Amino acid sequence: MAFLDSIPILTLVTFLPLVGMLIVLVLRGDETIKRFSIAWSLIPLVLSILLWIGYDRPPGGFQFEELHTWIPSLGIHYHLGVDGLSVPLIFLTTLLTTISLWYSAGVIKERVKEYFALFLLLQMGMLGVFVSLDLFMFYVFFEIGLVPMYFLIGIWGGPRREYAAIKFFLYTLAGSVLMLLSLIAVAFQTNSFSIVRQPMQSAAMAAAGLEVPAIPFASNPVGTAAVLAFLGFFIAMAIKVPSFPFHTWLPDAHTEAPTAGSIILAGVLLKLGTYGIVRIVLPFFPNAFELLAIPIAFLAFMSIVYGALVAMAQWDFKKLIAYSSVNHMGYVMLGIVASVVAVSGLKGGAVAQASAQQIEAARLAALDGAALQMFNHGIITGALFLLVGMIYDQRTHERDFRQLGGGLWRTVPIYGSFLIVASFASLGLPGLAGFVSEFMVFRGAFGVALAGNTMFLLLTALSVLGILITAAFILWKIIQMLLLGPQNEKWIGTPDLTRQEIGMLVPLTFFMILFGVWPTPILDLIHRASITIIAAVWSYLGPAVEAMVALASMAL
Amino acid sequence: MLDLTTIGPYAWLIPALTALAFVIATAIVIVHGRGKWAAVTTVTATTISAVIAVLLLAAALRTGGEHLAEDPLVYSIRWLPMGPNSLDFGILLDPLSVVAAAMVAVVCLMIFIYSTAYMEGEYKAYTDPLTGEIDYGVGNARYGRFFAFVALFATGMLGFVLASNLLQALIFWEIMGLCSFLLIGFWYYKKSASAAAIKAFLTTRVGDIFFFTGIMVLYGIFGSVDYKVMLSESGIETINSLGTIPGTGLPVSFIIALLIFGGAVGKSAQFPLHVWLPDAMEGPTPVSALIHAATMVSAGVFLIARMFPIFSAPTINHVGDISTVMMVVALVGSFTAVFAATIGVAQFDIKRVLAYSTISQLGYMVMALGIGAYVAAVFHLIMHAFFKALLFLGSGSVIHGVEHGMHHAEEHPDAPGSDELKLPAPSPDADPHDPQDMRNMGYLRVRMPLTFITFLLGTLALTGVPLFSGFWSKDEILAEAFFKGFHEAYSIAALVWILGTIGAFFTAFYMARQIFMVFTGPPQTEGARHAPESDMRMVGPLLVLAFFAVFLGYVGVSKAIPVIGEVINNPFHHFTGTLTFVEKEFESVPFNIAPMVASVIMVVAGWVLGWWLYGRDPAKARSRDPLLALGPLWTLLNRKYYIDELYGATVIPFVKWLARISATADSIIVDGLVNFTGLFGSWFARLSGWIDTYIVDGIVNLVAVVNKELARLFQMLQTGRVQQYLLVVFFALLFLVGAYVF
Repeated sequence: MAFLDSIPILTLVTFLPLVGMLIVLVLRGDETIKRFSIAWSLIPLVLSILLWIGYDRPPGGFQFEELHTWIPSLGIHYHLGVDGLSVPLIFLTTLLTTISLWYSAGVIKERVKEYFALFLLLQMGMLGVFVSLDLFMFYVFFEIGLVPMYFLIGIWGGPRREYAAIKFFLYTLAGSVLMLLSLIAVAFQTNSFSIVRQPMQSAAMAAAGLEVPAIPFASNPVGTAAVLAFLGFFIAMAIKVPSFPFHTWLPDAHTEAPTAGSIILAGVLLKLGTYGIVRIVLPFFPNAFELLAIPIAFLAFMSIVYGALVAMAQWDFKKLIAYSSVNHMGYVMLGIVASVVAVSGLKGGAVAQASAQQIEAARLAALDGAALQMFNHGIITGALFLLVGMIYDQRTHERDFRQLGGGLWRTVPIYGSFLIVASFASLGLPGLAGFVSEFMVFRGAFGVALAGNTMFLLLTALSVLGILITAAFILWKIIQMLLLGPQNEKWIGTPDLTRQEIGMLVPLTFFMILFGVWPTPILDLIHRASITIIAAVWSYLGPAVEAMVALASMAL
Repeated sequence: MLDLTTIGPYAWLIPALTALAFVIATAIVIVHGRGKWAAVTTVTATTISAVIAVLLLAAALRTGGEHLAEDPLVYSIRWLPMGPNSLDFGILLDPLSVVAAAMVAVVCLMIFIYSTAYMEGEYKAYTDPLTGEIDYGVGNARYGRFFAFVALFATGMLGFVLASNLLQALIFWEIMGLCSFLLIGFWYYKKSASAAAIKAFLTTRVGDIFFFTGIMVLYGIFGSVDYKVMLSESGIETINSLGTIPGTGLPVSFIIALLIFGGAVGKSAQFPLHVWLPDAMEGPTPVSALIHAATMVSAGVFLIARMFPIFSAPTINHVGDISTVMMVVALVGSFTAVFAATIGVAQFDIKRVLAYSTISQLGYMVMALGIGAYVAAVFHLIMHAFFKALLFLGSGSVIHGVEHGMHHAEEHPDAPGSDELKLPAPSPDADPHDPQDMRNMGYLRVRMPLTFITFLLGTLALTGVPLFSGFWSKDEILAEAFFKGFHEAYSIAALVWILGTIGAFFTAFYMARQIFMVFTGPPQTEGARHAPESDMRMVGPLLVLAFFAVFLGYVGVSKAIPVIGEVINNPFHHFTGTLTFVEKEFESVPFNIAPMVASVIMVVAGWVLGWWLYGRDPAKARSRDPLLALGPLWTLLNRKYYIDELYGATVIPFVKWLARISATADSIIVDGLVNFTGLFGSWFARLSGWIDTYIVDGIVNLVAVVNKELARLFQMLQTGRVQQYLLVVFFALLFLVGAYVF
């Protein structure tokens, strides 16, 4: 779409929420503010759909770039751009924001102006992360998101909101400090803040006569400095994901956050971590990542299995979903690790058939799966938190499974049906979105591991247990304790979902089914980015360059 | 016209039509709540599917099994782009899939037609559990929902058997899991139903993760999930070239096959994952028929048959020889066959007896595959589907009749029966209002004659009475086991033969027990006394299925059987006797009278003992089961060897405990560390504060204090009196002069 190139669409997508926030600040009347915010959030939503449609699959790469000098003395640029990895996440952000605002309009009664203003600010922060191609900007946006979320939890949250808000803020800030140090190290070492690194290309940089910088510590990629810089970035992201053992802020934050806060937190903010890993950590530090792949795979395994086990022990509906996020984000981590973990197969290992091309195909599947899982988790968990909110905020004011009792499907059949679909999507039932991404992650991880990495094979095989445990707790806690069985008399007469509430759930459910049945529209977008990233990473790592060249040139 | 290449391209319609029926039926239920139309949609779609499937089979028969196995037809579309090999959705037409699809479609159709009448109670007598009022609206929608779900169930099985790759198979496999969950839990507001639904889904999912891992390993090895790739001769060679698993000496195919087998154990309810199947009868009876016969449990056996080249990879050049993993399969199958049969002896619920019979019969199929009796296993799978569907639908008819009889008796307490019978004493242990308890039955031979005859024919087929279908299939399994055990000296096959023959005795016995308890003698309750014969929509399918149960077996009569064998020439073996893709042909075993005689003796013995204990005085046997004399052994069988209790006391608490421990560790250790860091931070901050106040600031203050004190000191000098200043000057001068002089 030509007209998209003629407008600074990424700037618009990112900063329109900020404009919206300023307008909200001068508006009067709660209803006006609510209506305005929802309507305003539709603009970025529409723009993000245009981005999705307008992104040219071949050739892929960064598109819709905008590049201006910002702080020349430091070499910091205002550089925006998107690829197949960020476009789905931008769409996810705008979609979940609109739904969250819509939901909030019904439940937020106090300090409406501040709430909606902060929410729009939050949206800007999240979108900024996904469009930034400059480390400095990335960092700024990464941090901006923290502040409104802190207030959203701290002001409109549950009884322990202050503890949760401070914990959330300090924990992520601690990570950010590490990232800042690493970021400065990287910037000084390579004299550039650019996120685009060799061998990736940026048309805008080429047009502006800027050279694409090399990756940091290229001369000694597994030296102490490189590993420390890697860890700085990685830990910051791992806290955000959150990966075991950095996950304990999440259940507290989720339990206390207002429903819309939880939706955004699980739906988008967690993705900032995994997105950062794929966008920055992986291409910047391929060698260090490979060096530490097995320990990271162990963290992924722990997130998956341990996260699921802890979820199983929860009695609080919201906390259970929160822990299930730890489990689901573990799959993302596993997929990412599979894209770099070393194998011995190429040197004549056990699997004769595992040619370089096959291994690379597995790596691609793993990274595709990881990126898809980010999106899928966003819609599925977003819907689940929405459903928790609908029953808790609006109806029962009760989140304990034991108190909610059984029979809700009978009491509130429409609610029950939506919950069943979201629950099955969450446990990875084929035909719904979660299955496709989990399948691809495991297909990739097994494919790579079988090519000759026993430790990784073991961790991957054990991670399969996560699927079983997830199924167990979702069926036992959500479906059996909540929906099935004899009705709990206490809730008889509880009204079923309103049309508005159905309206909020329908788009999320639609995508669960669509991408479960026909994932191609999103996968061929993601696939473009995965090819580039894998090709970039493996140009530093391995003997598989030839295979990659073949893959990268392959039309989808 | 009837050419495979002409019909083949439309084979995808078979699952697609039922899928469409699911969508339309769901829409009807949501929009209109008209259950009738949902039923019409499902039955119509399934009818067309069944017609296509049968035409396909006919065309395939014309093509010839061997030819089709060498050159199977694959039609596929791209589904998921995955690197160089995209994942496809496809239809594979080979002898196995075509036979299975025809069976599934026809049996499903019979079950669906039957259900239109059986499920009518759902809206005719749907009472709101709260108000106690009959609610036609809700009931009507639920009637429709039933047909939407069963259509999806049929889609799952049809898509599974026709799948052209493992991923697609897994997807439809899981869809079946979902449907079993939804249908077993159809009366989800009953606690037992919801528990059974969860149990079915979770238990099979334990198997599924093995299957899943197996698929992943195969995918990793081949970079593809296509059957065509992995089951071809070169595919098997690849697997064989992988060598052995370090430290065990077992080939890699062993572990792959074992993982796949794990899936089959879950789905086909083999020991130790059999526990879900008996509970699955919490669903409406047609669902039991669906699960036990046409779909779901057959899927596990079908999976082993489909992946058979992998199971026999080490011995692929002598297909039919028994590899190590097949020994495991044979062992599990034969153990399950006897184990479940013995439990079936001591159950009172009419459906529960049949449920254990299913587990036992699946054990026969699994053990047959384990000894390489591939054709016999598939043959038994097909035969079993027909007669087990018949038996379950027959039991549904019985339950329906008794239930109606009970209602009738309640509504007209004084109405005498048309007969002059006096009811015998009720069984002391049976709940007199349970229409499924066999102890409440009897006399139905008279009340429900068509149900009785068809049920009897099904029973004769199941127990393997000569000339009925089950006889031909079961006998072929035992004949092969005997041959391999005693001519080829495979001790595992000998064991299979012994256990299988013992199982035949128990099968005949528990079925004889059921027949006599349910149908013969005087009615035990008013319900049995007034039970009416069922609607033609129910009896019709019973008659059709009974026809198959009696005659279908003749398609697989071994050529070696004297007299008729030559005439019939075993078309089934000819059609399915070649493995697709690898193109290996199974030999049929030579005829041996010994195993046949042995199994017939066992069957007769079972029937005779059944008649002796239950047939001579059914009323007495119903009020007090003669087997109670077995004492603790009876209890053991009756309680199903306490397997459920064992799991309830070990696995489940262990997992819950693990979850609790993890959660505790999470809040105490992992989060504890975080909070400790926080506390440490705030403690450190307070320390810093103290230091800042008392030391850092203290120094500053000290400086100030010193200055101040000094100032005060100097202040004292600053008196403003000139005389004092002069005095100081004078002394200072004196001091300086003095210092200078000395």
